[in-house]
Parts: sequence; structure tokens; C-alpha cells
Amino acid sequence: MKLALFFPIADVVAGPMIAIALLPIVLILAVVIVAAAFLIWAILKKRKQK
Amino acid sequence: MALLLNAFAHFFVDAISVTTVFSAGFRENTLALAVVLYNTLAFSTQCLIGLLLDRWKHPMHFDIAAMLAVILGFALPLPPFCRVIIVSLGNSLFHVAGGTMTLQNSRGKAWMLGVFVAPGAFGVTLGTAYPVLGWYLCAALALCAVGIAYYWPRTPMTLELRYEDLQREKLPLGTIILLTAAVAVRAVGGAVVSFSWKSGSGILFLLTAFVFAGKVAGGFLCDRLGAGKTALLSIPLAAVLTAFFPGNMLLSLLGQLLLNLSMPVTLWLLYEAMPDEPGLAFGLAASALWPGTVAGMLFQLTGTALWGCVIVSFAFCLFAILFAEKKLGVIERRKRG
Repeated sequence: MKLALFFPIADVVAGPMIAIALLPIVLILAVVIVAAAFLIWAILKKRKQK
Repeated sequence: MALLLNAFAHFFVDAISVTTVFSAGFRENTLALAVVLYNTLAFSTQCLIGLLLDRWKHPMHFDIAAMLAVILGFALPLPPFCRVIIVSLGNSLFHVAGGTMTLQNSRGKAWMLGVFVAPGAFGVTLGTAYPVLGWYLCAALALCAVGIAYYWPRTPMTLELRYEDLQREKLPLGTIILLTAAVAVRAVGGAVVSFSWKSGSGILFLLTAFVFAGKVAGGFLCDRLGAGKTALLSIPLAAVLTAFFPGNMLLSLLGQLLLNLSMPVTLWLLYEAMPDEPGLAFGLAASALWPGTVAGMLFQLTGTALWGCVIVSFAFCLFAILFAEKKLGVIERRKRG
């Protein structure tokens, strides 16, 4: 799965610690974006149904 | 024809995007940052773009605009990070627009989805292995854009038909959350494993071929056997092969093929859960992949912890598919024909 879709970060560049250190922030950001999109959709949908 | 062209365009878009990142002129210490930025923008924004696209109703315009953005991102002499931002947003827009067009004309079948998503794997591998092909790829993508602009208006729409068929009184919110989580959790399981045999471009292309075959076959199998049976056929064996035989190339390749069989299945089920929102259905599945993969990258597991992580994550995905299939009434509709 990883190889098919993403750049293998650790394989491409061995020593960029700053990119690795950013990963937890990226993780939180990515989760927040998905949750926000889902919430916006659910709210819009509920309003439309009413 | 337009859908086939979109599948080819998917290959070229992914190849050009990756080529741009590698040829933009990054130094060793900034390349990894560019890769993280690219993946975050290209994947995480897809759900937001899907949300917008479902309200626009004309995905072809975005599809062609996205291809243009990717070509410009490659071609324009801008600062490297600007080029990465342009291609990643273009890539994101293309995926959602192309996915929406595919879902709108899928007549409730999953095989078209498999055919659309699979070529991206080859695009990423080609862009990684041969970044020198950028201009040829741009020319080919421009031809695809012209072809889609010609053929798409002549393609009959099937979205309304599906929407009436699947309209529900109550929103299956829980099922949608479960399926989105399943995509992320499955990505965790896929990302924690590293293959010791994975070196050299020949092996890379071989692995990509198995991933490609898995995604294409997954769509056809889903139509033939149903979502649940396809998942039961693929995920347990994929879990065993991925968890216990990462050092064996042949078994790992088979594991990747089986794992990817379930990919169009989850995407198709998400669309079944929200048939009037094809862009968001596609975008949610794509966006959920990235946090799952990042989470998998953060852990260095070995031994029992590694096996446990793979088995549990794949089992969760299997449960989600079976639950969604039952909850959405997919089996009953299949029986009704």
C-alpha cells in the first residue's frame, strides 16, 4: 500500500530528521482535515434533510 | 472512452507529480520536506475538494484544470516549493474529479473504480525511477485532456439513476466513519512492514505490477462475488503473508496483491453509503490513507508487535467491510439484481 501511493520518505533520503520530526504534526493535521470535512458534510446534509 | 482516458491520465498525473518533486532542484536536506509537503497536500486535501466538487456538478472542468495545473507545476520556472504546491494541489484535484467522473458513470459497479485507481501506482514508480521523462509525460497528459474534453460530453450520465436507487431516509454516518477509519487503519498495517528485498528499479516495477493487478482485480471481484466475499478471500491471507513473510519476496508480492484487492471494495462501499456525494466518498478514502501511513511510519515494530499490528489492522478492515455490506443492504440489492 505504502509503495503504491506514497513516496517512501525514509528510503529516499536517509538523514532528514526535520521531516521525520514533522510527521506527528502532519499526522494530527491530516486527521483534523478529514474530521473537519466529515463534520461539514454531516452538518450540511442534516440541514438539507430538515 | 473518457473513463479509459482518465485512467491513463491518472498514470501521467502521478508520474509528472513525482517527477516534479525529484527534478525541482531540492537539496538532500529539503527533499524529504518536499515529499512530506507533497503527500500532505495531495492526499489530505482530497476530502475538502470532494466536498466542494459535489456542489459544482461538473467534474470534467476540474479534471482538465487539474491536468493543466500539474503540467504547469512541472514546466514553470518557479521556486521548487511553489512547484511542489502546484502539482500536489493539481494532483489532489485530479484524483477527486476523475474519481467523481468514474463513480458517476459506474452504474453501481466497482470494476471502473479499480481500473481508474490502479494506474497511479505505476505513475509513482515511473516518476521515481525515471524523472527525466517529464516532458514526454506532459505531452501525453495534454493529449488525454483533449480526448476527455471531446468524449466526456458524449458519455451518458448514470448518477441520477443510482441516486434514486440508493436514497435513504437515514444517513449511515456510523458506517461512513467506520469505513474511513478502516482505510486509515489498513494503511497503518501496510506501512509498519518494511521489505528487505525491495531494492532496485526492476523489483520496484514488479511490486507495482502486483499492486496494480490487485486493484484492478479487486473491482472485478467485488462485482462478481460481492464486497464481503472479496474481503474474506483477500484480507485474512494478505494479513498472514504480510505479517509473517516480509522477507520472502514472492509471498510478500502475493500479499500486496491480495491486500490491494480490498482497496476498490472500501471505496465502492463508501460510495454506496453516500451515492449523491461521489467526490466526498472518493476524497474521504484518499485522505484517510495519509494519516494511516504516517502513523505506520512513526513506529518501528518488530516480532510479535509487528505481527499483532498487521493482523489487528487488517482484521479491523475486514470487519468494517462486512459490517458496511450488511448495514447498507448491498447483499439484498445484489439478489434483487
